[in-house]
Amino acid sequence: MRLIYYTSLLLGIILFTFILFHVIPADPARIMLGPNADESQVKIVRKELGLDNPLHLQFRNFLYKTITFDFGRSYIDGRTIYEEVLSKFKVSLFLVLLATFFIFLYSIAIVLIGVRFYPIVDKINFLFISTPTFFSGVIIAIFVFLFYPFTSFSGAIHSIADILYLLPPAFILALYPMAILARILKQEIEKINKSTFITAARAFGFSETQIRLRHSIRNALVPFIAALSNQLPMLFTGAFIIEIIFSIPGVGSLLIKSILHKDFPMLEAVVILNGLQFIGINLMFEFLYPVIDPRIRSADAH
Amino acid sequence: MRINGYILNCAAFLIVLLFMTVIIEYLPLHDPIKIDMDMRFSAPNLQNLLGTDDLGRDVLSRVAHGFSTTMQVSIIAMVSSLVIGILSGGIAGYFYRTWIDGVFNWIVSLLFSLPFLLVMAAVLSITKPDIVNAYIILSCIMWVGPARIARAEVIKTKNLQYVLASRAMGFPEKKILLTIVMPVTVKSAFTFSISYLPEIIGLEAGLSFLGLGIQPPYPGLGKMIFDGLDYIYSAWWLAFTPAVALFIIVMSINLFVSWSGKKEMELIGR
Repeated sequence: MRLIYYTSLLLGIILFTFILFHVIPADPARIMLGPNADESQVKIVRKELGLDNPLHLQFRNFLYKTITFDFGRSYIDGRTIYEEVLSKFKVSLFLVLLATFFIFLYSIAIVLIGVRFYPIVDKINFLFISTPTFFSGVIIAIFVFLFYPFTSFSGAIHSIADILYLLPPAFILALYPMAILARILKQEIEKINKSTFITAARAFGFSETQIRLRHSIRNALVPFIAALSNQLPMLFTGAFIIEIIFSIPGVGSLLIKSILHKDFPMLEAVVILNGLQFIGINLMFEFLYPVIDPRIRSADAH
Repeated sequence: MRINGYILNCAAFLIVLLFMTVIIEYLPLHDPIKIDMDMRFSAPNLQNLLGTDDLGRDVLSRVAHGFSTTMQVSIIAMVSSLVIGILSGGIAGYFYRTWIDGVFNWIVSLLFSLPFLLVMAAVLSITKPDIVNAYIILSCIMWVGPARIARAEVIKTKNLQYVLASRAMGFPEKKILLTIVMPVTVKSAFTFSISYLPEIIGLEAGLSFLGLGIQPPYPGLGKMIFDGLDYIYSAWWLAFTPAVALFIIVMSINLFVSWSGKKEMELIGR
């Protein structure tokens, strides 16, 4: 059932992209060649792109090409879009994974330090949530250029220096989701600490740390994971701006390049890539929930 | 009730900022688009309080104008997305568990499945990028947030005891919707929208950052940051000041929202 839902979403995304890039613009061939090209050239390209066909045929072709990841070649430099996007995506993915690592570190810290420090944690979270990416990005960029020793990036993850270069941007990327997740985690733990089974555990003489690690955390995990599944796709979007600020050659840099040069097939591929990311992440979490919380598994079975 | 002086300052500051966006034309600022090649990259000084940019334009005046544009677009987009959201979400909530609600949910999850910034960037780069289009596309996309809230609120309210009671007493359906369900829905959707405003501001700045917001030579905060990144070693104030402006506005809105949230909790607690 969920699978059908996600397939319909994917189809919706592809349809949306098709309408956006093939129906709304009056003449993609003209845009591709620029205003100075003569009519005969435009006609040839139109034929090449299959723009003479009726819409439903065009959509069928488009669907087929999208499913086989054949996005054609870039308008600008003629490179294969699939390879280009894939190589840039690897860098973005690594950045996002580093950011996720920071998120986990912070969440674990929240669990470990205990309820006493929560007022301070609240303030830190508030600061992180209210800081726009632009502000933190620019500040850290200035500091990185002044004080941070690792300022060269080779274009892909080749060495330790590349990873070290990605650390500050990944931290900036993690700020907002980290604070949101910490806030949820904190609320859940506070709520669970009031429940009767925790009081019972206290009465049995378990230490606070033991209670936190063995009972509170387990129950707080499901809302936490749900929030994480919302935040992960947003990390990829946030990465666009971070990548441009720190000039990391990822999907964000690709995006701004294709916007500047009106490279529509590239833009199209980026949109579809993001749709795939969203659906992939959500499907992954759908399978993860029953593993984390057995109650969900039994609820599904009934 | 004790009002936190700090927060009061913040609210006052917010009002001053809003007022400034209205009277920006009459403030004694330099012309934000006047190019002066003799004054390129002058550091902050008495004449240009925040320095000048790569074309000798006054940064303070550009930040102020960019800020005013951002605020105007974001607030107008917030209000119109609120209206669209309440209408569509309300209708979907009223027809809960029918095909109308199904279609609504599908569209909302479709819009949520793609990053807002990316969709808007794609649409704007295909049509003509300018500030009016940016505003239209912002309100066409941002309605999903308030719509979800409105839908949930209508579903919750329409089966509450007192609504059922007034229906049993023979109140006409239209009157129930207008006098009972709608005020509650509008209130919670509006509260949500205010806390949504920083996100709208961020998206507007993001569009401008990608070169799809207000077009040069007119200043936009995001575009100023983007242009300033090239000179981040030599002239840090170019990227720094618009970023600070964004930080200040988002921070004050968030402080205000968290304060009003706390106040409401206190009221409910009583």
